[in-house]
Amino acid sequence: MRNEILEKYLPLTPEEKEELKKKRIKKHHVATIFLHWFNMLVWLTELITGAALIISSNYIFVPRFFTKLVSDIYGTRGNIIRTHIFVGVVWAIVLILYALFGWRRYLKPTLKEIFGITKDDIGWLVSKFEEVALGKKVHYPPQDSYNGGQKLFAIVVALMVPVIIITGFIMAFHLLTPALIRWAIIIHFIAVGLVVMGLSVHIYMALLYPPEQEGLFGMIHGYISEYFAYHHHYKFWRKKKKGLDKPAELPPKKDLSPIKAGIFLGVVLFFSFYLTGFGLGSSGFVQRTLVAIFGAFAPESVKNHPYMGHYWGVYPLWNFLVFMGFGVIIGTLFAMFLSNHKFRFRIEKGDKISDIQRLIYAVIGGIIVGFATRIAGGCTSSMALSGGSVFSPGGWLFMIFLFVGGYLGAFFFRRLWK
Amino acid sequence: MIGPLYKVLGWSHGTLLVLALIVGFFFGYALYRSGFYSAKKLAGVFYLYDFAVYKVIFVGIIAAALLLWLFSGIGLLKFELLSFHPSYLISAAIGGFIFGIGFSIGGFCPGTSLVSAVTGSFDAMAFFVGVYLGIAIWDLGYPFLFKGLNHIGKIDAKTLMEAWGVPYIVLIIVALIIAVVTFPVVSKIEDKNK
Repeated sequence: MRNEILEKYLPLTPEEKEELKKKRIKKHHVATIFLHWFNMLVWLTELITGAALIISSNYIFVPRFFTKLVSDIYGTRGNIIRTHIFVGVVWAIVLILYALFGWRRYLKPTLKEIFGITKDDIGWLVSKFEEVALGKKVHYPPQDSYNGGQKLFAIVVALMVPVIIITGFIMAFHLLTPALIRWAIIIHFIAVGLVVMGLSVHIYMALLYPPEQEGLFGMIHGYISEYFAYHHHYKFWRKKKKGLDKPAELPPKKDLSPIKAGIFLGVVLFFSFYLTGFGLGSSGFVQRTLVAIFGAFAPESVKNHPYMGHYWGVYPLWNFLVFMGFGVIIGTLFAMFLSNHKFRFRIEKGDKISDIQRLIYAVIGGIIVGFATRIAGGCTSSMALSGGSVFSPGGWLFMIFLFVGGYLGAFFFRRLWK
Repeated sequence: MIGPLYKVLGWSHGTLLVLALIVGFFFGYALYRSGFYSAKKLAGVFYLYDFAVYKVIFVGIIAAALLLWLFSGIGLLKFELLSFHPSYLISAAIGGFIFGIGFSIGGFCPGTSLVSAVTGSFDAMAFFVGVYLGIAIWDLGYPFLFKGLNHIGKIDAKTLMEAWGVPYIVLIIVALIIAVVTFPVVSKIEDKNK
């Protein structure tokens, strides 16, 4: 292999052609492959159920027999809606997890590439048009791991998927105002339509267009031949050969200073009050989920229980603090990844105690704290922070006595943390 | 728009839950960026080598209070529509005292243990399980052992402004003065014990 082809796209010699045809190059990570086929299943289900859900005397979208067919398969229309929503929610959760855990390694580089449109991408689109529409013989400029057409489709997908998810949630859970829900229906439909336009080209290319066949198999086992990569994705191939495709390690961020962190937390607390009228809370998450767990075994006793009954409501998990808890989990993960910190299993403790001792003391501390929150009616978040900011007498007393108890405890248990 | 938006504009319960998710997101983000994923950092306030907990809570209270005061002052927030716990003074004091002991042993409070557990800390997971156990003990023992323990010393005033008849801003300034006086002191103690 000549070194020149690492710098510039040149016609290959017959020997190079043979050499590159034998070598394979990794195109897709296994996570990407799973996500791709998961996406396919989701889109298949959602397009079929979604299309069957559109019934209007003014606007006939699919033939009646199709609607009837899908209704017969699912039994009732209610089942179609439930399936559509359930699959959609699962899809959204998977995508969010992917975005979180794959942000640095997959999503960010991909977004950077697809939105970083170059002259070569435009050139590819122009050439493609000339070839297909005008029947000219053309030379394609060198391409990244996505070619110009794929980038165009990827941009549409990247922009429309959040729109589809958000409008879907608004429709499914009747959020905000009725007018907005009506708009959400239309926007949901248009966004899906835009993706489907690209999707039809995407499927045609992968299944029926011979030059792209290798790409299809690449999406199954992850590898393509270097020859294919050289011709279709020269810039990707060159990067890979030069070892430039690995993202650089970023230095971990330091924690915010207490003053900055405090202001951040205070602003969040204010917005909680301003938007909802409620402050922050954490122990309510535990109480509600616990009530839900007990309720799964003995709903009647829990509903009529003198204490837990208060937390039952319509349904214990359909609650402000429960959702806040889930938000905390997602926000924490985001903060961790955006601070370039790594997820690692660990036990933090003082030097004088063993791991097992630390875990036992942690459970004991947790039991005491959990129990105490029930006496006080809340924890550091709701009593001290939220209560403190509105100068609730109970909140301030809680905080003062928290420190009294803490320093007394520290006197007796300082061995744990030395 | 006049807040609290959910109550003033009569938004649906579903909207409230989405708002909770968003607020929770930033709450978790803020706790993480404060460094509260680490039990050592949290416990430092009781063992005198890191006062981040004290400072963050205090600054957080003052920042939020200033914004609440400002917004209700210019008529953009109906303070009386805010929901917070009624004051059972004795219960709050007893609860706070016991809470503090548990905090100094376990190194977490419920919210921070959730944050830390999510980042992979086994001690935080153990603590969080402990919180569940503690609350379960209370829940199950409530009818015959703990009934009423959470309702001692009720006062009618919802806020100190009401109780003492002083304006909101005066209390905020007092808190600010306490912060300005104590922060340099605790920073000195911090440096000595590092």
